[in-house]
Amino acid sequence: MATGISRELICIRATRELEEGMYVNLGVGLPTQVSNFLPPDKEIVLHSENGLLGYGPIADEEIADIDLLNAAAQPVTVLPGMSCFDTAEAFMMIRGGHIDLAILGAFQVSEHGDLANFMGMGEPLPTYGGGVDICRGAKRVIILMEHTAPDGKSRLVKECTYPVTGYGVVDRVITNLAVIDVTSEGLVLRELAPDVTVEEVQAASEAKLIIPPDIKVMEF
Amino acid sequence: MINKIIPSVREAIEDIKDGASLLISGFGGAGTPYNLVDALVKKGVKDLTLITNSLSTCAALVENRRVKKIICSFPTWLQRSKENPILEGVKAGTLEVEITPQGTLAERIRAGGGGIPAFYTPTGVGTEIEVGKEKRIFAGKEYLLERAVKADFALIKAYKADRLGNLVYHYAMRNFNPIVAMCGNITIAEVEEIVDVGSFEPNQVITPGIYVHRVIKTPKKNIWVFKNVPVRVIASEKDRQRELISKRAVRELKSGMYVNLGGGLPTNISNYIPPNLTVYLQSENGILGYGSIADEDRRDPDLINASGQPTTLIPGASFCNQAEAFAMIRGGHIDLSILGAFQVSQEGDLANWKATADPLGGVGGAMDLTCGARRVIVVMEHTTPNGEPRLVKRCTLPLTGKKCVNTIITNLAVIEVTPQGLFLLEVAPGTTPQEVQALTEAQLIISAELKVMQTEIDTVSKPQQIDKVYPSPMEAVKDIHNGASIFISGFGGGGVPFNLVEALGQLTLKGLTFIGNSSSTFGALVEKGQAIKVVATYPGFAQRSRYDPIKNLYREGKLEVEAVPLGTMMERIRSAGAGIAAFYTPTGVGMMAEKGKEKRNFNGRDCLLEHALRADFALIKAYKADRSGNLIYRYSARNHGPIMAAAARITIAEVEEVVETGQIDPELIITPHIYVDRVVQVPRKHTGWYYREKGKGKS
Repeated sequence: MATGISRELICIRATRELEEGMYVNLGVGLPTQVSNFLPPDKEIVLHSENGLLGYGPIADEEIADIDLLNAAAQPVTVLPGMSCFDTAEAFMMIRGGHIDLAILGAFQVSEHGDLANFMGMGEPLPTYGGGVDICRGAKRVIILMEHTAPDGKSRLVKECTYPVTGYGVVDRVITNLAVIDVTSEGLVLRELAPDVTVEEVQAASEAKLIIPPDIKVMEF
Repeated sequence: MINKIIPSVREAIEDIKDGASLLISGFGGAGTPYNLVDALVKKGVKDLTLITNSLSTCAALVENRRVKKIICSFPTWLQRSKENPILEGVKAGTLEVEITPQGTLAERIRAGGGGIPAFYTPTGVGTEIEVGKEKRIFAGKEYLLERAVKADFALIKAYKADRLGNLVYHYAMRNFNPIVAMCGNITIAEVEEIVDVGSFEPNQVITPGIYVHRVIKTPKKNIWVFKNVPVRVIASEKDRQRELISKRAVRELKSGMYVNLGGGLPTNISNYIPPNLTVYLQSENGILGYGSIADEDRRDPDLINASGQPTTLIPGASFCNQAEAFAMIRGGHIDLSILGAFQVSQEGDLANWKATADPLGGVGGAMDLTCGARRVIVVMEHTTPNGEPRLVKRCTLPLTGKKCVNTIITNLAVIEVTPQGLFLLEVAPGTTPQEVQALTEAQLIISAELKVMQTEIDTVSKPQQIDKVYPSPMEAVKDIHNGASIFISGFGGGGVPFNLVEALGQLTLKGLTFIGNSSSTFGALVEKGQAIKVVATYPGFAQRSRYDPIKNLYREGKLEVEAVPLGTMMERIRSAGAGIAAFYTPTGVGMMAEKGKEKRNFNGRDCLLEHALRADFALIKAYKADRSGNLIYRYSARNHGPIMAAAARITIAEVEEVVETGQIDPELIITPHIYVDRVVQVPRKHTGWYYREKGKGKS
């Protein structure tokens, strides 16, 4: 099985989805690292569900401040132009359609763009957090995840077996192996990680992939 | 580089075309984008739909016949004798008017900006406003279903902006602006000054730039001329009567009360409140703690009360937006509402928004006040200018509220509304009960302890210092009882009131319900066996390897757990504080969270009905407090604090620093003291748990 790119490179590839002026929410897990790789030539505003807009990269230990956390409870830094608000307001921004892009993690994404990322298997209680609001409210949703689980099973599935956060909410998936779009016709393979073949991606995907003629190699 | 600054007004409104829908902010001249409105008039666009509070923001557009529909709370001038272009348009059949009470309007705008298609409010039940609307009962009380509004463009006015669109306001300029900003597909802000990015302290920003698309610097412009400013000279019999009523009304005020004075005669009362009486006057346009009418040399067009009169501030004053002001009112936080009236019925029905000579009328905030305030006093002349009684058997004029008046103070009498009927408690000096009855249509029951109306105001007693500071966390929590429901603020360790939680843990309480983020907030308390239920968005620990009392006790059947998506949970709590019974949200449709919930389609989108979530106590963490209980926060430690503070019966805040009342800049106050009951100063606790437990730096 191909290994593809590192988790860090998945995040760096994700930054190519950012356009100047975008308001972006980074979900818990792998996506929080995106804040450390923001392109210097595009001004992006990061939104956090616990009430920050315009925060900066993860803070070093010496300056870590418990009053300055992102959604994953990691300490972050202040940027000029940052603003603060309460959580109800944070979710008015989300539910009201003001967030351009949400970059989230996942356990699974299905052929229809269904997202499962808030609750593991065998868990007794749903740990919703802000994801249920965010996956529905954001204008565009991109998932960052490993293509397969530690046991080798595909995370790109026909139907989600994990509890679903939102049906049909995912627009694009970036994994260690590929970049895949969710379309009305199904999942379309757009890019391959360097040194990864179409066959390797298909072998790692339970979901059916549409293979267009113009597949690119991922660039960073 | 993001740059939302537009070089000219013409360019800022370039794409506003015929038939557009516009939100126009402003109240009483303050916070009104007059330069943008004027430019629109010059541009000539027509067939507009306007959503705005009153005629004062958009008169120029209406006069020039550019408007085909207006949704507002006050389609008239305060001075009702003035020519009304809205009325002319209605008579000509060219203008449609939809009247919505001001609090409902503010809420509809906020809902539109926040993705909430509809909500239930008690305002307007029993009045003309309820016609055609769904009425529903929640916990034995009737509510109306009201729908969100949205518009193509939102025109707002702010004080200063940076190029990211972050905005701050000045005094009561704020009013509708922060909520209107959320609600336009394109939001255009005219501002007095543009500052460098980074000039604003992050906690100071009121409207984050995410809502703002265009910023244009314009000259300060306010067309409002201070009329209706009462002259403190008693020149006529009418003045004397008004003074009698005002002075008698002041005797109903007690130190520490939160009081709203309606437009007209009630506002006059603010001039008679003595300096030794600390009463917090709340104004629907977003001031808590205004004072008497300002002297001529101290008048600021941005500092006006609900009657549009220039006012002053008392120490500990704060500002808020219009939705927040009506949340205070609707949510039951105002002790006393003093309103004027055309008529009051023997059952306490109030009519004060539409007179016979005034076909459209004007609701303003009156309907919200009648159903939100804990007590309603009407002050009015006993008869009309024609000598007709105002105290009637049944109101003939359109109702503002049913059975909502408690006490009536007139120039002749003080009357109490009771289930047995109207009790005549006091008569004016030199007046007999028979004289009062002769001028009253309703039957009066004369009190056995009938008194003469007193107008003396105590100016000598020592002023009561309001001091909400408690000596220790234990002192602040020790009366929390078995079976209580308790909000606990905090997100990921930030903004968690650790000291209050620890003190609570030392009490041997049982059967509690905790409401908050996760196990990191109240796991320890659950482990102590204090809880029978938790309501949480993340009922567990992020680190799944950690022992989790919530999961374990739930598995053993010893703990009830209600899990709620975070946005829904916060909006449910906010609704409780704001007097909203329930609301619809698209969050959770089609997945696990929709189980057992009512589903309904709005504009082609399925939504779930969610109910208000209140609690007996709130334990929150803030940065700094003053002795009256005003709070400010630091960065993301704010999170749930302000929302929980408004929705609990008793709110207890632990803070790092306490200052004297008046030492916090009013513009910076986030949680006004109306919501805070107890304050405890604690040492700053930086757990540093992230690095200690994760053992890593920047990845």
